Amino acid sequence: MFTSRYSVIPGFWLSLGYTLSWLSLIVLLPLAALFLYASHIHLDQLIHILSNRQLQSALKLSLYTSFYAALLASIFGSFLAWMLTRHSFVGKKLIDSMIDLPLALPTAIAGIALTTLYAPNGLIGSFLPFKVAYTPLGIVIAMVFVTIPFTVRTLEPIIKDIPHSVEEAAKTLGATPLQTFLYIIFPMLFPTWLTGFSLAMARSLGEYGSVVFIAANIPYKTEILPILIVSKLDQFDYTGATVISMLMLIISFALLFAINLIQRWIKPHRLIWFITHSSLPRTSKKNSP
Amino acid sequence: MNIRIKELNKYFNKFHVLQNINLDIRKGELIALLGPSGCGKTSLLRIIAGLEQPSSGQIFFNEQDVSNKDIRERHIGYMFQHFALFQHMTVLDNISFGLRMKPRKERPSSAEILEKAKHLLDMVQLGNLANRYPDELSGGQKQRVALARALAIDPSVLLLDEPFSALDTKVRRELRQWLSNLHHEIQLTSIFVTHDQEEAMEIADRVVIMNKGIIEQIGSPKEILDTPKNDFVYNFLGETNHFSVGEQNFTFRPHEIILSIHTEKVGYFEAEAIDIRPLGAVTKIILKPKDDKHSIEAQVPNTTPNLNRLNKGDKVYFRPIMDFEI
Repeated sequence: MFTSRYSVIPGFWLSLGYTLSWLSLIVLLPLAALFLYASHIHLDQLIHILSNRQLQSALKLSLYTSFYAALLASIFGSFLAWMLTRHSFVGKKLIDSMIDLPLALPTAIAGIALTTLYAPNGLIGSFLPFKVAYTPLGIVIAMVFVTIPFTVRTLEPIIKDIPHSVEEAAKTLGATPLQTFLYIIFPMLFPTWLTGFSLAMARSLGEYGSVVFIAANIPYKTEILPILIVSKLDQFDYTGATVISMLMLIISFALLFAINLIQRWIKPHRLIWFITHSSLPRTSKKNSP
Repeated sequence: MNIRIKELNKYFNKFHVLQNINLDIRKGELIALLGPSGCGKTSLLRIIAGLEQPSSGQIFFNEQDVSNKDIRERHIGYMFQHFALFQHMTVLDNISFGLRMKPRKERPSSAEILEKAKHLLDMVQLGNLANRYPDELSGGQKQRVALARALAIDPSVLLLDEPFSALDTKVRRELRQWLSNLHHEIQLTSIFVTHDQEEAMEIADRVVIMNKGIIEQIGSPKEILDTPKNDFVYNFLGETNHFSVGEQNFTFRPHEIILSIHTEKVGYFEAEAIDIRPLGAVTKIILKPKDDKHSIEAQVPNTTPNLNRLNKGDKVYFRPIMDFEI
């Protein structure tokens, strides 16, 4: 099961043990405590908590806002990553360093700033014909803000790895820019894009600090799960908070695991197979090995 | 198709990469653009292809000005230095890519595309590797896939950027011959870029020698070897010995020399053999002339009489056969 090859860093067993103990202390132990606490809860109590309508609507809201946020962040992120790796322009270094700012900034500050901007009387909000702050759209914007770095930073190395000559080759063979993107660039980027997407979605699901300000937290309308957990804690309902945390953990894990599985299956050549077969004459019967 | 390049200039920022290039390429010719790195040969090839825009000047394909035409309207086949194969497509899909990307009304049927791709695969002798991926191929196989892919769209001219540089010596020799035969077979106007004079001499019909953005000489391999226009061409085409004694200067190739171990012949100069290296058909001898501080490289056939009596450190007398006076 464990294999050790010659490596410049010595002490395979030592480093494995070290890694596992730190992982246990920092990640696994708190999670285990959560499970331990949750295991004291009776089944009917569990069902009672889970069947709560406020919880269900918060879950739904959490899932769909984080999905859209991840989608938007990974689309904007791709453009940004492309610009930063393939083009040079004035202020590129500045933008490059600004991308990581949402990671450093306390998310609460981001939330307050976004709320101020997008509030109905805010700098941007007052020009928009629809409400942003205090609606699910506001939640999505806050989530996009905090997750953009993940999507940009995952895509950058992959874009750097695609040689420019591959694009030129497609051009010399008569492919239009759209065709080059569809058949060459997209299949090469998509698996990594999905990683960025899943990271962004996981981060969005757990986001609390920025959303709490922009969402106004109206039950059934703009209350997401993490906020519900905190409000349970405020009411000293530790059991409820634990159950919801468990639920979140399980959902996040299932999501990340599912995306991982999809990623294993989706290889660039399978994608090209899919695109080719949906729109172009096929050449080989056996396209995937 | 014949190609005419007229008063072409290219600047990269302030750097004048191509200076007033004029070049006529006849239909069916195999042309080598030869020169040291940075001489502008790849830029010229990329401009002919349309991958790069010239700063001024015109390019004609069959008397038709294509200078402002998009690369996709020029119908060229281009082979990249590192082949630029599509890693996520099989060999067959790589080769048929150009055909499958054609607009719907020009595009052949699936069966025709498949047949054509198979034909090209057979032509490049890779019929059994149709469903492999590029990273499962050797360098030589990749090169042939890249060539088949470029030929699939029936280009009117084939442009090859350092086609052999990514291959090892033995494969390079084989493919060189193979490409030359292929060119004779299909008679497609072809231009290839190389920095290897042997490669250019071996397969090109005509060689264009470039240096620092200008064309130094255009001619058949024989013309260029026999009548080099200037020092640069002469030096670039092979190893060169410079030897001066008194007022006399000699410039000659390593094989343009006669050696003797007998003393005091007229026209011979004294030297010491400081290294002797048998290389198969020829033996390389490094000479240190008595009257010059620069050493001389001599190449003599290994069948030369008395050659094995020569030892390192011996006295030798040499005479340049053909002198190119400066």
